[in-house]
Amino acid sequence: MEYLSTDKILIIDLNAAEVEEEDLDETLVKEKIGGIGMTTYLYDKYKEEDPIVIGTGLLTGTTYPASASGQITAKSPVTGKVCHCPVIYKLGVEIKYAGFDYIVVKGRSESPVYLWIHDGVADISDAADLWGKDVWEATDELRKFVGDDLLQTMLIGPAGENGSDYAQVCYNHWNSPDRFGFGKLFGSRNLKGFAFRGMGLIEVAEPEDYVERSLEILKEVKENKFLGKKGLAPILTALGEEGVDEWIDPVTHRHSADYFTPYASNTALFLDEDPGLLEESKKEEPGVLVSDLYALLGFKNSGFSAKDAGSALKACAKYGIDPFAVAKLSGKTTLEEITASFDSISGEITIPGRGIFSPWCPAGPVFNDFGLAGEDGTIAWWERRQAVSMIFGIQPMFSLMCPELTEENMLELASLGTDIELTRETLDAVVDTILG
Amino acid sequence: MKYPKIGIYAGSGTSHSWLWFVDLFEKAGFCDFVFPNEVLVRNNDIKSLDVLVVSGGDTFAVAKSLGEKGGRNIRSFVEQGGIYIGSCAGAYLPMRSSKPPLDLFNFVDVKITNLSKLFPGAEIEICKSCAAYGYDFVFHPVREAVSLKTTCFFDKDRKIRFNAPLYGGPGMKAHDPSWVLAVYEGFTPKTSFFTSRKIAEKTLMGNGAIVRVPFKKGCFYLLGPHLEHPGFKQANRFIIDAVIRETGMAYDYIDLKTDKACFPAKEKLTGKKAKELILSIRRELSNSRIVAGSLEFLPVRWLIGQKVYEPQKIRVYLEAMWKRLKSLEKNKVLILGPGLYDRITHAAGRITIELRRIKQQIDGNRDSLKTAISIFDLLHILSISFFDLYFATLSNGINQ
Repeated sequence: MEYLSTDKILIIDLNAAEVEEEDLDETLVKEKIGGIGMTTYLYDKYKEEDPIVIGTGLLTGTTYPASASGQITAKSPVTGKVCHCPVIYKLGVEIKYAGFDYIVVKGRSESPVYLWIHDGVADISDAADLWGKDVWEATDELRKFVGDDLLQTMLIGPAGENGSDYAQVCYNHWNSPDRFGFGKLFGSRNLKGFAFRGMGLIEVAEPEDYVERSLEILKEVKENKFLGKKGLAPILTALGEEGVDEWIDPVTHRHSADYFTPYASNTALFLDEDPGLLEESKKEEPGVLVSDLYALLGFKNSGFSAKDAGSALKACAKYGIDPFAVAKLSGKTTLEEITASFDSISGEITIPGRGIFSPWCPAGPVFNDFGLAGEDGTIAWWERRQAVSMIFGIQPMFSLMCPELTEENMLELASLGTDIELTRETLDAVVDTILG
Repeated sequence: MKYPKIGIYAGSGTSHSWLWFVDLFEKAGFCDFVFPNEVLVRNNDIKSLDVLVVSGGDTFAVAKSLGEKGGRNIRSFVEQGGIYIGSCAGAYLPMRSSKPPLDLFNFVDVKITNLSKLFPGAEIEICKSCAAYGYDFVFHPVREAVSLKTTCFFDKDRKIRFNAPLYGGPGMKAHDPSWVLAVYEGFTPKTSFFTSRKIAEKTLMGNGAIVRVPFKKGCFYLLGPHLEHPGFKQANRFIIDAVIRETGMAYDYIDLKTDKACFPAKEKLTGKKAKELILSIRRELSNSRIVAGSLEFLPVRWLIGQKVYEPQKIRVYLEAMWKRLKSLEKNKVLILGPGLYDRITHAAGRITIELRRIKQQIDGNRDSLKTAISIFDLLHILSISFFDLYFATLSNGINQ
């Protein structure tokens, strides 16, 4: 597979401490397109070994708007279903640029390890010094060791090591969309996580046409009025929550977007520093980056101040636990009680539809109605939208906002980028397989 | 057809610009290279060469490391018919000087025009614009692209104009004006001035930029600007044309596939061991590139000898190897000289360690000069070893 791809699938056997590479066959792309189309295929291929499959979308890391996302596909230790967790921030892009489109992890290591993926090299590295460290400490230590602050990590914290049901795989220092307990899965394999860094390039079959069409689509996107908004609060307001703006405003420092995503859906809160500070903070940990709407809302509805909610989210990120599950299931109302309850969180959270996509994303459209009517239809639409986003590598929250990103133009760009004729029939077949 | 055997000096004192010569000659189809360091020059392992290239760097450091024996061997090499190509520091080296250790290399009667009794008014980057030279100062009036015009030496009917970057090389006055092959003709929009324009013009304009000095059976080529810089194709062509003319080759670029005797047979590495070596090189080059990339964001530079080194220069070495790795990977058989496997794996691993160390030193505001010296030494060692492996392997693949 020559274009939009590294042409490589990485197979890691933790039992044998061995790595091998497979070429990504173009005929497979013609059948499965990419993203969770391919991770589902790879999961089934290695099903007997209960693999963890990491992937990137076919358009990930390109000029197509919001082409930011990667995916983790694995069987959830919480639900028992094969689920798909979006990989967000800049991490999805880094996976592809680190030299692999897909990574299959099989088996269990005898001792703690992490996987250092860089420029087409995969090293199974000793994690003895990282095991027991929280997500922030481990991320900082890896960045210091490798000598690069741009290193992107996908790590578990103590929650994953201790086998908590709602242990999360965190991205860099922050919580992730993982509602499936994939952190517990990593921990059960003695896998502290991944570090990714790549300085690679992706070839595009028709580069000029690809960029031109991308920019045309971006221009259409920018005409949508929701792009005047920023951060989590407007999304929650659009979903009918009241008073979020006033509540969060005193600690809001800035908003940031995922790779090439026109809406800044992550909100940074300053907790130990004046959010209005115009210079770089002297404090080492002045705040927390929040991407989880419902965790934030959960703490708000439990009566937390925005500052305390931010502190709870920060503690969850360090411990590597799903903050939504903590807010919903702990039943605690103070920060001290919450942090003390991390190892005893249990119970169920509701996952809409077939239960294979993360309810980190709202289960319906945001800002725009996409012409939908009726709850049943909305969930079906939402599942297809999630599936399609994660096939092509589109930031799944943004795809719920932006009707200008259509299945047609995703297919068009995929064909332009790969020189492979990809049709709606193929896409329908891939989505049907994913949705079972 | 006999192909010239080219030695590109890669020993102490050279900067990264010797890698540009590797690019230049490789792109032109030459394939018979060696990369002598100071020990090999002192041992006179250069005598079988047709061309010896000494690139940019720190002239004093090069002269010191080559020493008297090195000087004697270079002289003898040219006297016996060898072609010496010196660029920037390599151009200063064989000029007359009374200052040790340069006095060991008093070969050609060419004077530099960028010498001043007074410290010139340096407007920017003082450490890069001037160096003490006895009671005088060697100063560099401009940097970046300047315009050159050839004389009638090669082509009586045609004077060619082209640009080349000047990074500290000399303006020259030759004892015999016919030795001058090109003069500085003008500045370009990219030229940065370190002195007033008037001083720069007086120092360079009309003076020699490329000088060829006949020396018994051979000759010295002295290049003020870096004609070998990869961004200057016409300047590159000038060097290739000169080598072709001097070595009596046909005026066509070489067809590599016709050459059956470029390299002598060496140890062959195949199968798992070959794959392991490539993976090991890839792993460490990647680790090193990642740290080196992050160093480029830091406000640091090192004065090593007389030469200023920025972190960006580290990646020039690493990228020179990285971009050739794919070609190397396609070969199922790797050709290595004795001890090369260990030298490559050891140096590559050490570079990663030292780069990570220097990043921590800089982050911690600690002195990093010793580590920087060690890194550039290791980069030389690894690059030389890598190119030995690369060219021997590629030549072997072609000959299969």
